[in-house]
Amino acid sequence: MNEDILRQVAAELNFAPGAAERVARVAALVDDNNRRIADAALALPFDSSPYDFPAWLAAADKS
Amino acid sequence: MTQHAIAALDLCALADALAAGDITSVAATTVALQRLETVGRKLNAVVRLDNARALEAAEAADKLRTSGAALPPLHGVPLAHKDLFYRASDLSAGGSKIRARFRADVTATVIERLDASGALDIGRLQLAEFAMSPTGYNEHNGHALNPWNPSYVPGGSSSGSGVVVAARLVAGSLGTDTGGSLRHPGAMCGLVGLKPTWGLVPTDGVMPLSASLDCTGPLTRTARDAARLLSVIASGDYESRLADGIEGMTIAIPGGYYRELLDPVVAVRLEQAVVALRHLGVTTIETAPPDMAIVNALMQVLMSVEAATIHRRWLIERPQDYADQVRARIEPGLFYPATRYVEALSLRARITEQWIAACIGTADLALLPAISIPVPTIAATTEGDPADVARVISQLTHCTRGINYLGLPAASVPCGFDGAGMPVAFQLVGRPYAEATILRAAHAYQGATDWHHRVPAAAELQ
Repeated sequence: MNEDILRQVAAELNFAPGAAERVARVAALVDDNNRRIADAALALPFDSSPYDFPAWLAAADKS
Repeated sequence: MTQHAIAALDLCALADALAAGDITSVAATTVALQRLETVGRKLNAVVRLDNARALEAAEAADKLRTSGAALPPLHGVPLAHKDLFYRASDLSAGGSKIRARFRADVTATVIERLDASGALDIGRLQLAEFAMSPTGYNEHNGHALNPWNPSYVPGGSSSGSGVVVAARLVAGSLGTDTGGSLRHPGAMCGLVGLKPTWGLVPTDGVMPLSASLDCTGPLTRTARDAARLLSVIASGDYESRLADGIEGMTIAIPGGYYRELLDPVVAVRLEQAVVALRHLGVTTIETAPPDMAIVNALMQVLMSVEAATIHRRWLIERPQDYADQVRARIEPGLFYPATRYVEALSLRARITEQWIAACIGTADLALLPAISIPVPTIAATTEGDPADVARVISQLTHCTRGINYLGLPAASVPCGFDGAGMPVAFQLVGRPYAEATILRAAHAYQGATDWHHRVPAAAELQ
């Protein structure tokens, strides 16, 4: 991933110039995780929700 | 009863002795405070002791007992907890420099539940800075020291909790677990560290690290003690069927990823534990985990994004007040698009179902290593080539961090020692809300073994 983009995200979206200076050490990790999840999310049904997990847990609770 | 004899009691034995009037709460609390002040300070495990308040509460507990009133399950039992649990108007630094003067204006629900159970809250314990390290690393306050050998890490982030329970300073302690922070000190100090199902135990009034992953749970010497504490903090009954046995239970042993880093000595201890479980009537089956790289990626995104959201302001205003090792774990969360974060949450039920089907299958529980490698030294996790340090730290969470994304209950169970005399543990993982099954298996195993009775020299009880 282009480190300049990450530097801009840190400085201009998160207003964290110090973090922008340290981008080099996290860029590979961010790139890898970003790609893996983007690929995995292709399998998600259209109507998936971030609230599915709490609902699934509640259904599993027999107490 | 002598001071040493009181200190040697586990949580349930101490609660029973107090209820029977064999010892007073004042005596038990005095012993705990004295030992925390001496041994606990020596092991750098204590943040703060509330002596006057603790002894006043102990006197009140003794008066109530002699009045003949019905007593709650932890009546008069002195406990101390990770310095992440708020009590209104008390300091709560979270192991950090940034919150050194922070006073909470609320009391954590779990602390209120312990108060209602009769337990005495006598102080707060050391932890990794902002609960952000599997070793217990705290650049500002120094490492808490492992009572089995002070050159080795105690495990974190609930490091002080692990140290004081292993050293017999208190009989139980609450900690939190976002990527293994109860199971790491449990495994490295020789204790049961129980991470409940996500959401089972309230986390309000506990300084958050990652709300989607954080769990509150107990660190104790025995599974029975863990069941007693969980019954209080989860408002359930995890103790009454503990002794039902495990004849007929099936435990799955996932291979693949969970064997990749396994040290030969740890492998031998795990195999010995499996043999012991089979002798108790357990059937074992082999299973194979799904792609764990995606599980770890999903966990990392949730943890770092949620932590970065909490810490962003301080990262800008007070970056110098974070240890670099801690800042480096938070900052990746600034860079993921919001779509990745929502996708990580949206995938969670599906990925968890896949993991359960692959790893537990038709069994009741899965048995994993708690930590794949022997307990490392403090030097191995702080000095030398940063890449080597990062590798060791990552290896420590190899078998724990994914379980937090899955939201499943899991516990470390001590199963022997390595060549350096440091504890080794296995980890039992269950389906959602299978805490009672995990504790029943751990209790049966502890009934057939004596690892949890071993006392480190640093406890100064010999």
